[in-house]
Amino acid sequence: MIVASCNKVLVKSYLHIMKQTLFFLFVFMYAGFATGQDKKDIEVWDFEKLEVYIQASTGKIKIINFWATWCGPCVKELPLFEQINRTYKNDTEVLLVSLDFSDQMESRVIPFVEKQELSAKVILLSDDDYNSWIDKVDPSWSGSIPATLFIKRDGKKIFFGKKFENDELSKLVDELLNQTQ
Amino acid sequence: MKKFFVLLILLTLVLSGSTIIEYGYKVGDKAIDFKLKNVDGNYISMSDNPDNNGYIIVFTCNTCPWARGYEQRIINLHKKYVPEGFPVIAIQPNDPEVQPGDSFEEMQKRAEEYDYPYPYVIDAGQDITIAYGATKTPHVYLLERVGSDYFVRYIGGIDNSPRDGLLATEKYVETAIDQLLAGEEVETTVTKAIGCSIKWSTVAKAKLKKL
Repeated sequence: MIVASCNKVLVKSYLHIMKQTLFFLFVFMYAGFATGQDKKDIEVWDFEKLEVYIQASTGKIKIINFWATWCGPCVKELPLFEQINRTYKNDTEVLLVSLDFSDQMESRVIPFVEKQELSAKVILLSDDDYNSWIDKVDPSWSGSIPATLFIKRDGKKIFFGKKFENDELSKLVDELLNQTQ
Repeated sequence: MKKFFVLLILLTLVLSGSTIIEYGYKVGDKAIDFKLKNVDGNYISMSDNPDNNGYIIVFTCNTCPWARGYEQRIINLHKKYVPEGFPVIAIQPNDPEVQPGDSFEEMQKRAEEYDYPYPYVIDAGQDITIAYGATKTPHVYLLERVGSDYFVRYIGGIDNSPRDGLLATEKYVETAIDQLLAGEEVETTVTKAIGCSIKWSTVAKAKLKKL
């Protein structure tokens, strides 16, 4: 009798452990599945789509940064834009426009964006006829990257064909926010 | 006071942002000659061959993917237009201290590996790059010789298909040279293309600020 009840307890605790193990297994499997699904989905835009985005009024300051994964200075300043995106989420909209070639989306762009854990929206601009659209971003842009276009709440544009250093960007955003409040 | 400083910084930013392309040549300007060190150790000037009709000056480098993407097309341009008197001179504008992959030794390796048929010279002090106003790689200045002077006839990109030259529907440099050879005015004198920013030395940055 005692032996039997002992066995029962053993079986019970064994089942409990099994249940727990299974539970954790499922959690892990689900987590793995979820991160798999969560894989950054980066849209490919042509310039027409970017132009619509530039012109649309959102009530926020739009910050459009042109970069590429292999552009050293661009990669260096990305954290500054990321910081703005996290700090001023309610007042600004950061769009990181990758100029990598679209056939490098899987091999370069997605792995880079995941590794950097970018929270800002990233798109890939696949519009090789550069001469047809660079002037539409800003006539003073020579085409070198990094480059950044700010669109204030009143729709006015400010363009910078340069790399931002340290707190230059946050100071500029502060100033733009003060102007339009 | 704080506000004043913020305004000052903002003003500096706006000014530096907008003045960035104010220096350098425009189409029609007379371009200065140079004496720059080629990968073979010799110094190259445009006036070394005073009978050429002009030059295709390409600011390009080892490290920029767009420049590398155009490498074969630059070689083709040279081969096609040497018989017409328009050879290529490739100028490497980046400061190797900032971009070690563009050092003179690395330039020599690349020129040998890809068998460059044209001079690949380094603008060691970046003064020629500043004088011309190149802002990126690749960046083309097509020059036409008039007497012993060289005049800028076209500034910009090579064609409208950075990824694949075979898909180009407009070959800006070729069209411009063909028009010059035909005795016509160049129709498209300026185009824009995405490229890698020039990697300036601290000294060159200070010079640019004064312009």
